[in-house]
Amino acid sequence: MSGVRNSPGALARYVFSLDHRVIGLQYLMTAMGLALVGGLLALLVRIQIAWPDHDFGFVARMLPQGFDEGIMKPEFYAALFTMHGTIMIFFVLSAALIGGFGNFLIPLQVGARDMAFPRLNALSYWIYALSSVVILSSFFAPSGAAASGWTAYPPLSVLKGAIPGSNLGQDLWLVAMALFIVSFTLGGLNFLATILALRRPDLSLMDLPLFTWSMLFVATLGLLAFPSLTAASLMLLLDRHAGTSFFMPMGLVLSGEVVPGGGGSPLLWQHLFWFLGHPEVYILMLPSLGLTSDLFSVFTGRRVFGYRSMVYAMAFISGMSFLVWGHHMFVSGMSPFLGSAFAVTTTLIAVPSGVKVFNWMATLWNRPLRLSTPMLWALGIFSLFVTGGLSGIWLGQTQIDIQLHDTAFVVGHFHIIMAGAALFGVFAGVHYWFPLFFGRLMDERLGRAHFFLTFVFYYATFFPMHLAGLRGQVRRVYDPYQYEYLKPLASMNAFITWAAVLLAVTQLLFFFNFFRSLRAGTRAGSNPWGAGTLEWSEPGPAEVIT
Amino acid sequence: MSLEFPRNGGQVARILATLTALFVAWSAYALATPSLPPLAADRGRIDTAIALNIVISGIVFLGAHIVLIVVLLRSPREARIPRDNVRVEVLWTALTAIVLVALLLNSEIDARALAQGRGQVDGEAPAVVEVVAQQFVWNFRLPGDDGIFGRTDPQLVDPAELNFIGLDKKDPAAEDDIVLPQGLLILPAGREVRIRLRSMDVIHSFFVAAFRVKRDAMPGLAGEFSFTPTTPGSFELACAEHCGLGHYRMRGVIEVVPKTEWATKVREATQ
Repeated sequence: MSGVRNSPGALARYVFSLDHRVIGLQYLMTAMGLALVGGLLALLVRIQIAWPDHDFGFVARMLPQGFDEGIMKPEFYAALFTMHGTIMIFFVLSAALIGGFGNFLIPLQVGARDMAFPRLNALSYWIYALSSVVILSSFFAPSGAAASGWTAYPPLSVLKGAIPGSNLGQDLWLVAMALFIVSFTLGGLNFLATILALRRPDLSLMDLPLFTWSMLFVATLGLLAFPSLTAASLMLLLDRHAGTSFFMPMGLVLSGEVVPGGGGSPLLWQHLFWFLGHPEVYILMLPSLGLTSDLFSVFTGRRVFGYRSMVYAMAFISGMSFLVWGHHMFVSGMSPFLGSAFAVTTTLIAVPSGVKVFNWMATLWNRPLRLSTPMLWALGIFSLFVTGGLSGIWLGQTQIDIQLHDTAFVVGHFHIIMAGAALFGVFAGVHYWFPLFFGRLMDERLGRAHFFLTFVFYYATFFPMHLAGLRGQVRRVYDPYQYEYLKPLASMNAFITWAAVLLAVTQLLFFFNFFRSLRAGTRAGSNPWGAGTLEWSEPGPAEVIT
Repeated sequence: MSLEFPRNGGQVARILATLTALFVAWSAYALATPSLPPLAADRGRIDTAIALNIVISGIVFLGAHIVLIVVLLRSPREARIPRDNVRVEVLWTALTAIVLVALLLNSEIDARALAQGRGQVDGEAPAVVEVVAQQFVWNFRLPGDDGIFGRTDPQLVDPAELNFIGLDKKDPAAEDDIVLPQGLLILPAGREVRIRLRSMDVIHSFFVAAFRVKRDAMPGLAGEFSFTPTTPGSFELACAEHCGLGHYRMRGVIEVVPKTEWATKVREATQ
C-alpha cells in the first residue's frame, strides 16, 4: 500500500484512507464496538422480563435516568428494545456484513484494484460513522432514547405525549436512519459499479463466488428499498414538526386532549416501513447464505451443488422480497384480499429457500469435510436456516399468524433466521478472512469453543421463545406477569435469560481470540484454507505492507 | 500451504452431531407437549393448523438435521462427486412447492372461514360490542335494545365525567347504550360476538390467547371481526401492540357467562 500512495502518514493510511481494505476494516471495527452496546441493551431487556421487580443495583446507579430506586422504568425498557433492534439490524449486522466484508472482499473477488469510486466509498463509511454517533446520542436526549420500537409505528412515534422517547430521542433516531440510508446508498452504487464494470475481463458472472453474487443482490435491494424509508422518515419528521398529517388520522384523543390535524393513515407508514423492512431482512440473510455456500465449497473441495440454481434462487428471493412486506401486517386490519395476496407471495419465496437447503445437503453428502472453524459456523447457519425457515412458514399462514403475531414466537423466529444467520455469518467471515485482513490466523481451538458454546446458548435462548409465544406471551412487555395466564412462564423466561447471559459471556471468547490473534496468531501463508477464489490468489496484506 | 483440520467422523464432528441430536430431541419433546392455552372459542381451526404444521415442519426439521448428523459422523469411503443434476433439482423444487401450496390453500380456507363467522343462527343475531382502546385501558360498549350505537365525538371526551369514549348523550340512540366499566367485558357463551374495534390514540391490539383472536386497533380505521366464546369463565385480554410505557399493564378481563344470564350480568356490572 505504501508503495502505491506516496508514503502517506499514519492518519491518512489508517483513518482517512481511500483503500477499500481499510474502509472495510473500519466498518467491521465500528460494527463490533456497536455490537457490544446492542448486546448490553438486550441483556438489560432480558433481565427485566425474567425478574420484573429486580433491583438493578450498580447498573441503576450508572444510568439514573432509566431507573427509579433501582427498579427499571417502563419507558426506559421501551427505549432499550427499540435501540437494541435498531442498532443490531442496521448498525451492526448490515454494517459488518456489507460495509465490512463487502468493501474488503468485492474488489479482491472480482480482481479489481479497488472499488469503482474510492472517495465515495470513504464518504459512505464516514456518513455511517456519523449516523452511529447520532443514534447513540439518542440515549442522551433529555427524555430518553427513541422508544417506539425499531418499527417506529405512528401515532406512537409522532405524538410527543405518547411516550417520553417520542421527543428529541425520536428525532435523533429518524436523522440517524436517514444518514444510514445515505451511507448505504453510496456503498450500494459502488458495489454495483465495481462488480459489473471492474470485473476482470476473463471472469464471467457465473464464475463469481456466491458471496459476491449476494453482494450484487444486496446492493440492488438496498438501492430500491431504502428510498421508501427515507421518504417515510422525512414524512414522519414533518408530521412531528411541521404540522402535516401523513400518518395521523382525525379525531385522536391523547390523555383527554383532542389532537389537532388529521386525514392521514398510520397504515401508510407500515406499508412504507415494511417495503424497506422486508428486503432488509434479506439484505442481512443473503451475504450469510452466499458465504455459507462458498465455505461449503472450499471445505468439501467441490463446487457447490447446483451453483446456477443457487444464483437463480438468490435472484428470485431478492425479487420476491419486494412483494412480501404485507405479511408483517396480517392482523393490522388491511383488506383480507391483500392478506391473501401476501400469503401467496410469502409461500413463493419459501420455495427457493428450500432449494438452497437441498443443494447444500447435496454439496455435503458423502464428502470428506474439513471442519475448520469457519466451516462449523457455516454448518451452524445451515441448521439455523432450516429451523428459522420452518417457523417462518408457520407465520406466513394467515390463520396461524393470528395467534402468533406480536408474540415471543416472532421474536424467537427472527432471531434465529435473520439475526442468527447474519451473526453466524459475521463470525464465519471474520474467522475465514482474518488471514486476509491481518496476515495471521485466528486460534482454531478458541474458535471451536466459541462456536460450540454459541451454538448451544443461541438455541437455548431463542428456541424457548417459540414456546412462550405459543402460550400467548406478547412481545415488548415490561412485566409479562401482569397477566395471570403468563405467570406459569416465569421459569421459562428465567431460563431464557440465563441462556442469554451465557451467550453474551461466550462472546468474550471471540473478542479475546480476535485481539490476541492480531499479535499472536499463526502467520498465515497466502492461501491457508486451500480456497480457489480470487481473493486468495494475491499475497496477504502483511507481505504487501512490509 | 494448506492446514490440517478435523474431519467428519472425528471428534469435533461427533461433538457437533451430539449437540444437534440433543437440540432436535429437546425441540421435538417441547413441541409435542400441548402448549396453546385451552381453547375457549370456536376457532379450533387455528389449533388444527398449528398441529398440522408441527407435523410437517417436524418432518423437514428432523430430516435436515439427520442429514447433518449423518454427514458429520460418516467418513466417506470413496470420493464420489455427484454432478449437478437438473432432474433431482426439479424434483425437490416441485416437492417443496407442492407442500407449501397445500399449506397455503389450507390457510386460505381457514382464514376465510374464520373471517366469515356464523351470522344468524336459529334466529339469533350476533351480539355486537364496540371496543375502544386507549392508553392504557379498554372501553367496552353495547348498543342496548335499539341495536344502534349512539354518536361519539372526540370533543366530548371527558375523563372527569367518566365519559371516556366521548359519547354524545343528546343523541337519542345513545340513551340505551351500555358502557361497561373500563377493562371488563361480559360476553355470552355460545352466541356469536361481533367486535367493532377502534382506537382513540395509538395502535393497540386486541388479543385473547384463549379465543385465538387478535386484531390491531388502528386509529382512524374501524375493524370488525367475530368469534363465538364457547366456555363460560374468566379470560384475559392483552394488548399485543407496543402502545407506550403502560403497554404491559393494558390488561382487560373478559367474563364469559351462560347466554341466558348475560343481560343480568351486564346490568349488575353497570350498576
